[in-house]
Amino acid sequence: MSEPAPKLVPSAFASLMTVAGLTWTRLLRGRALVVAVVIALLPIAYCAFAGPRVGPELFVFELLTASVLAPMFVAASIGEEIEDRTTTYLWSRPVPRWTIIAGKLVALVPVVTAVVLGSWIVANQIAWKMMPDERTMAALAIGVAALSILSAGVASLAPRHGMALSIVYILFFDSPLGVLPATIRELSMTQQIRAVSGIWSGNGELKTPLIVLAILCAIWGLIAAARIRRLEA
Amino acid sequence: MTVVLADNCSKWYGHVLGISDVTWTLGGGIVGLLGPNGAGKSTLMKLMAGLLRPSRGGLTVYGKNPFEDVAVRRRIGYAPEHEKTWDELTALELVTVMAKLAGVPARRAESAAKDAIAQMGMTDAQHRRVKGFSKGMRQRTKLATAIAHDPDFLLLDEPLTGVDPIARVDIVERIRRLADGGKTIVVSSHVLYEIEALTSEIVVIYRGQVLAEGNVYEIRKLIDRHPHRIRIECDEPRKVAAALATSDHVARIVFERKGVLIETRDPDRCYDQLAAAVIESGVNVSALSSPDNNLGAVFEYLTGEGGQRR
Repeated sequence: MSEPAPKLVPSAFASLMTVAGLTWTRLLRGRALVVAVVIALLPIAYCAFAGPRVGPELFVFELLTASVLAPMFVAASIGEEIEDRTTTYLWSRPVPRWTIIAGKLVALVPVVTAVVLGSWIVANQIAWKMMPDERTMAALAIGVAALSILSAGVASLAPRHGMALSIVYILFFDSPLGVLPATIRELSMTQQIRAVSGIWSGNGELKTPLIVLAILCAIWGLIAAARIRRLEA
Repeated sequence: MTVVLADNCSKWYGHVLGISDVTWTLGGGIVGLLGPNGAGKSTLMKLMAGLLRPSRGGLTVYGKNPFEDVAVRRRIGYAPEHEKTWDELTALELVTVMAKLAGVPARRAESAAKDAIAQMGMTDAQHRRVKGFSKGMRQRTKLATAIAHDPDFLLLDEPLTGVDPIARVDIVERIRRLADGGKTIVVSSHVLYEIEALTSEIVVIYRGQVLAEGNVYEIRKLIDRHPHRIRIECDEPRKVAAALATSDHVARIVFERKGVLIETRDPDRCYDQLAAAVIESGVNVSALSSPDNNLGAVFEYLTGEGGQRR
């Protein structure tokens, strides 16, 4: 070595940003983005096919797209590290393990958000020749973040099938739960995202769905952090 | 100073035994962990690297539990056995990321990575993606990731597996230089002659237990009684076979689909002749390995002899 390296442990922020940078680089050099764009074209194709008959169900269609894309990026990224055993490189470093999950979220949530919002804007332009309502855009952005955290939690619990299980959980448990005519539906993440959007669901109030979403995110985030801390490579 | 202290340390994977009641102290220098595949070498390595928790007993590195204590891992450099890494990255990017995660400040991480890559003789390939690397280049890159943050304690899990004879000599020399620089190094292998090239201090591990530790001399005598097998994967196996066929130490030559398998009673001479033959004939060697059946037989013999520690 040209000069001795200081025996310092990296800060959590520095570790997190390094993992985010690593994730971005791999993403840009892989095929996942192309696949994501193809999936994001589905709501647009629906608008082009249905023409002026498109109604508020378009938001649910876009939310379904987000429900696939978030696990596809986040759960797959975490699961792949564990399955490919590249975690042996990450976990043998002096970094808290939660920063690896957080770094992946920091890298991937903006990418998924951009793809979903891009799809939503183009779909709105085709369907109604107008920009989408700001609140629906905010709901989708928040929704992507929430669904990504959920996916991270599921992936940490079942790395091998993290992506598939996350999608199954969201589409076949969380979404149906959200349409139940009972208070229990408030535990549904997708229901709260629809409520934040102000269309299709909810009474227009913002505060409660945002608080519930924050709690659900905190629970899934804690599950991911606790689980990843105990995992062995 | 005690670097590693394993105290009745056991590790199970469900019902499968990793290591069993290992009590071992490592003070410094280079130590070779020798044992056949599945003996528990990688488990012990991972326990020292903080990747696994003991199921029973304890293991500390510099007095700390490496699984729980984040800071102590700053002093450890670990090169895993498996080849998987982030193949989309270039060697320089990979080593730089690892250096940053190990605590080298961002502004110095790239120069530290370049130094580490240079130490492993990979400067010419540092801007190439890992995806296209040969086994030997991957091994060197892994070693560079392990040393980029200038750790005090290096754990190198099978660092010579699949490496061609010429690169093997070079890597051994580079590892030795690291030890000369004052680092404590544990190297694992299932091939005695790889370990022997690095150190005379070995720990023999078999079926999850430390079977013997100390100088390599005694165990070598036992192993030499058994033919040593070397598998060479190359484009022209007949040339390699022809170069070795007349040697008195060669017991058998078997041609295989991708190369040739040689059984020898004198591995040192065989490896030397092999390296010379490869250089002279210009044969492209894609992989070199030593099936560990013979080592397994020796360990069976050792345990059969009474099973007591030597």
